[in-house]
Amino acid sequence: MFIKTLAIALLYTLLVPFSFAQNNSVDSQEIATEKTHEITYEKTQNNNYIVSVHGIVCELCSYGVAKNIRKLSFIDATQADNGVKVDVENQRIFITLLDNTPLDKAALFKAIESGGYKPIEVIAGSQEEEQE
Amino acid sequence: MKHSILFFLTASVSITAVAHQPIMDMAPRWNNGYGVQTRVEHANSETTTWVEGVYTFKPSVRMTLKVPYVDGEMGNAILAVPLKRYTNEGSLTYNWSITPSVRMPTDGGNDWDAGLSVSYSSETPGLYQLYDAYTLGDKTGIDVNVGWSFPDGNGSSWFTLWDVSAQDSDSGQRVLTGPVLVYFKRNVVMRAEYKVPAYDHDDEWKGNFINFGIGIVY
Repeated sequence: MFIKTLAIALLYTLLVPFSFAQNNSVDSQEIATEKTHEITYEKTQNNNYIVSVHGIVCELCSYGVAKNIRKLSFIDATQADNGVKVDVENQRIFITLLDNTPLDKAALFKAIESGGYKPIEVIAGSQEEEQE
Repeated sequence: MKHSILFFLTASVSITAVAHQPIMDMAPRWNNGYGVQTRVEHANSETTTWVEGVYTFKPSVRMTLKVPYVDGEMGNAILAVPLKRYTNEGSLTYNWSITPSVRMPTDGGNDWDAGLSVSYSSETPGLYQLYDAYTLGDKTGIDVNVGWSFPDGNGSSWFTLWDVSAQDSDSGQRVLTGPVLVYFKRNVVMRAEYKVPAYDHDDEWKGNFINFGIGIVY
């Protein structure tokens, strides 16, 4: 009986903030959309970019994001990690573009959002430059 | 009022309880993702093989099908629709989930069971936690998984968790607890768990619980 009471209490506790969590998430999506329009980028000589992504902390869970990005036409899949490497420690994605191909920021962010995460910004740079 | 309705709905509907698995719960969380896994669990002097599949329509809506086999005989399959609300903030991702389900009489019987569970899970690069409350017919339970993850930075990761599962039913009460070990390599997952009774006043429960599973997502 004790466990049953405890379980029902936990159920109720979990349900109460459920609707609030929904509202918060909508706000987060709106913020992400707003930020998307603010971001600028510039093409680099070596075609490497770093994308900051909120919440991307799990190797398995980010598999779909990497898969989505690799499908983009401007990604150079001949590079290491097929042009996409996820850094779960720092919530970043390193991407490499094909030569003479511009970065389609909208498509990139859409690929990340459909993977269940929130893109924040994209800047020129590479993992190697970060480590230097 | 809204919360009261949800409370009574949840408290009055039964659910089929199954162990939480990385495939189904954690992944796939991307549009049109899918996965399969098989689990072998041994409990009560009985070995059950589960064949499970999941399809994610979008991060907030997925569908799962779980089919048990005991001694080669198909048991009652469970169809569920986990509805998740994700929030991503910095190095934290968390979600609230409500999962209606139905257990179908695929063993040749006539009994249908409807169910519902409510859960919360969160994850950072180093910490994972999951809390779930459910009911199933005469069964009501709580499942908690908390532990650490160790990503290697090259697409694989270890999770070491501690699991506590408490259940109340007509046959009594029990609390099982023990370690869980999870390993990811890209889109392949393995999970092993071993739980012992910490509190056993259940007439239908004997001994320990062992589970091993492997799955893949796309």
